Amino acid sequence: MTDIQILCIDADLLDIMLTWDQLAGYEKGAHKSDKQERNAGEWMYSTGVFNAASLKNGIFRALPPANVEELFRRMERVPVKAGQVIIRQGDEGDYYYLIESGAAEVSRSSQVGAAKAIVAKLDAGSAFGEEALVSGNKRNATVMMKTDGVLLRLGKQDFIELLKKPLVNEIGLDEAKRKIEKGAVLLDVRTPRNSASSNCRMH
Amino acid sequence: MQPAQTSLLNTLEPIAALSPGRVDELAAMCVVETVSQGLNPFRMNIVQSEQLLYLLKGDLSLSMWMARAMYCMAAAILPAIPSFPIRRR
Repeated sequence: MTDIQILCIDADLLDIMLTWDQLAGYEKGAHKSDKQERNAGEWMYSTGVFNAASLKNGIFRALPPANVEELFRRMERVPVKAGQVIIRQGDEGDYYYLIESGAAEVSRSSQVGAAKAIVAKLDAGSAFGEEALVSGNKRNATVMMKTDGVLLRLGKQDFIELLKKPLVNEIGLDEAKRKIEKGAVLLDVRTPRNSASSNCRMH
Repeated sequence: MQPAQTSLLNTLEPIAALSPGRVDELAAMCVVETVSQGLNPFRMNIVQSEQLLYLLKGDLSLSMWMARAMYCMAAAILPAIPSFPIRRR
């Protein structure tokens, strides 16, 4: 009817932000003591750690709110130093990590003893370590801190209970066979190294 | 287009209920658009996700599929009333 001015916002993103603030116990106008310890709720509305992009596109998006809250209750805050190796290629998976502050580098060697190639750089808000916990395979890369920082880590059992179960749909061998007979295609997404060290073979 | 100010976002519901950090993030991700008379702002969605559309200034008529018409007055006309969102796909 006239020229107008509008503002558009992604509805899903706003829903996620509202949910996270609610779970974190954020109340407009409520002030907290400076001496209060940083708790799980405060992590949740820390936009440095869990920025909008990671909430909208990361693994937290698909989690039920109750799991998100419990996840942060069980996470442990770990100060780390520059040069510290957090996970090492070939080790067993033990923790899932989120970077609260600091930067890290991911490197990988294609063969035992071969030179490592840097494959990724991670900073605050990034997560790592989930692959070995999901697959049950050994760590497929080394992650080393490039700066001092703080990590949030979640133990393997807590990860499986709170993250893996809601996010990974598992089916048994018989059901997989039935689906393949009906035209489903099985894809092997393991790295060659993981595939070689596994007892599971594709025929 | 102009960047959205946090002061503007804090007048919109339910955005005003967000923590300051989240409002800052939203401000960096959205802009105020001017749409000329006669154009349909619901046909301008270049992203596929559902959007909330706040009418900040001007008059917009909404024609519903059941042939009823709604007339929305902009928040600028009634500054005491927060603007409200309309969903668009």
